[in-house]
Amino acid sequence: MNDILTLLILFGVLVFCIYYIVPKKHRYLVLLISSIIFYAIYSKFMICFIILTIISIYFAGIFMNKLDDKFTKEKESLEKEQRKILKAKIKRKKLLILVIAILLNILILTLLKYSGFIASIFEGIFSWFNLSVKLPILKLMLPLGISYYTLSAIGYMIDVYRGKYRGEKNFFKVALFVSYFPQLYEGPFASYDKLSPQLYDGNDFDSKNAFSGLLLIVFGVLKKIVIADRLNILVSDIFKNYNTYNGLVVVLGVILFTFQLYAEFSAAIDIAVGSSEMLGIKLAKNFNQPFVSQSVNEFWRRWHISLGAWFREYIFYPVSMSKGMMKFNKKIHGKVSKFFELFITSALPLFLVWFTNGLWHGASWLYVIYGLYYYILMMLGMVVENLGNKFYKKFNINKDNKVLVYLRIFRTFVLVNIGMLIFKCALLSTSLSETFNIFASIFSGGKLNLISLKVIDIYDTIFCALGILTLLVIDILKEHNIDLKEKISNSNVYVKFIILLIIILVIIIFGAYGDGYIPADPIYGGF
Amino acid sequence: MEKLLEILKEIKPEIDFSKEENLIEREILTSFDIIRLVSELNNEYDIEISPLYIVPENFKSAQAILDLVTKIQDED
Repeated sequence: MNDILTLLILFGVLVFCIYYIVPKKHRYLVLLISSIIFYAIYSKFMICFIILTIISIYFAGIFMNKLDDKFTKEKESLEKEQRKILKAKIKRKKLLILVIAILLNILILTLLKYSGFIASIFEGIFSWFNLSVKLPILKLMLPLGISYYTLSAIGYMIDVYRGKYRGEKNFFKVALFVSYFPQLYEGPFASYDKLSPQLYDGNDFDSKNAFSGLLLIVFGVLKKIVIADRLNILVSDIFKNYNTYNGLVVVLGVILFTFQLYAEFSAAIDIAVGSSEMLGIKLAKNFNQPFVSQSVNEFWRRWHISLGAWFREYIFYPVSMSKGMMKFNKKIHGKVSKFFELFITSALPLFLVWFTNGLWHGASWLYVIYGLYYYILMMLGMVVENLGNKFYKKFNINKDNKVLVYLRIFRTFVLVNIGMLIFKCALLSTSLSETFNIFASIFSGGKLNLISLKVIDIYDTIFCALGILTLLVIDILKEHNIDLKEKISNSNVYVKFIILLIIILVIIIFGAYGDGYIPADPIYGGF
Repeated sequence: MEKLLEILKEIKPEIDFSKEENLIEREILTSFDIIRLVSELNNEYDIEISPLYIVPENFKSAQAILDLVTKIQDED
């Protein structure tokens, strides 16, 4: 297990023990204090950056509230025209506050996460002119969860600006929203209106929630150390020695990485959701059986859902519905086909979404390529879907027949795995040319000798296969409305504890720890 | 209502929008459909739908969409 996950579970249990014995109205303070201690233990002095974010969004909210109050107070005594003028003036001032606060937060993120990348771009440009310049860069460790809490903070400010809700007046409550410890590690992203009431109002103890949360945590640990850490050994070896393997082994390596990432990432989410559930707090859903998706669009609605929702709400819709876009839309309306109208008006918002999405994942060109890969797929997907629908209509084919559904699921899985290959290379910081070599090695021949994969023995191989199978079976059952977690939580107390015990035993006996195992790095935790 | 149903029918001909109550949760309307719908509504009803209104509750059924249009018309 990684230190951070162990710390998270430890804190989860500790907070659970304290939370319910504190009077209801002070329970949020238990969450806040534990979040601060958690952050300070893990990130030391880097805590100052999250504090800066908290201060900035707190004051941005308060100032915007004041402007809203001013408008409400003064509008009664004004004529319609004057009211409009005042409204526009207030809106401009609110926008100024919003822009300053967002820029400040983006500046912090850029300095800490992207300064090396930006410096390398400039150095590259200088080298074209035969100038050898070495730009100074800030070499600091990334504060825990900065990419997550920065986006949540920006979402909060935009919502206050739009008037969706008022800025929170209690500084400590804002601090808790930003720093709530279970979701700092790998998310999920929280939207303020859904999370804050659960954080601020003390929740009542509910034994069903407590058990269900505990079950999720334990299952998360199983996914991490029985499945993900074991797959990591194999995946690391294949990616390291790709040029010695047959292409099919490289393909296997990519597929195994996809499942490793799924096991690792969903495990971290399960631990976050589980420890919150034990406190009666429901976090956003982040996965919804992603591998049954019939298109890459659908895949991103089922994989890292909370990230997709953020980009949709704060980039895709505002850009698509901006005055400029709507004007453009009106201009071409009726002059081109409906399909082309949608295609052309989606091109820019989708580009921004995927460019930012790629950059959010990491600071290198490969991450940008990863984002743009999905952009191209989605734009192409629109064309293919349009042509496909015409084709099905012309030949009177039911597009929902089983064969076509399975074919679409297979196609999506292949496309997602190509994306995963780019993503893995980005994680390994391989150069563009080496990434291309890895991709090309898929088509290399040579003797197919699986025994050459000596890094794991037959038992590990069986566990890898069983682990992946378990993940898939659970997802397929859920897709058919059979929720195993729900069923276990609703069963009688003996069944519950026997199942819990079995999972713990599986972890102890079959966990990939001890000599020869190195826990996989938290893949999404680095963001 | 009839005008709205016509617009919706053009976006997804296979759906009976007069009966559907869960357009977003059941993923009948995707984000692309929403953008197309918003653009059509803006043109047809001469309104300006702000991104603030793009929440599932406002698009869950034809009635909810019509209520939204009426609300924005009243605001103007």
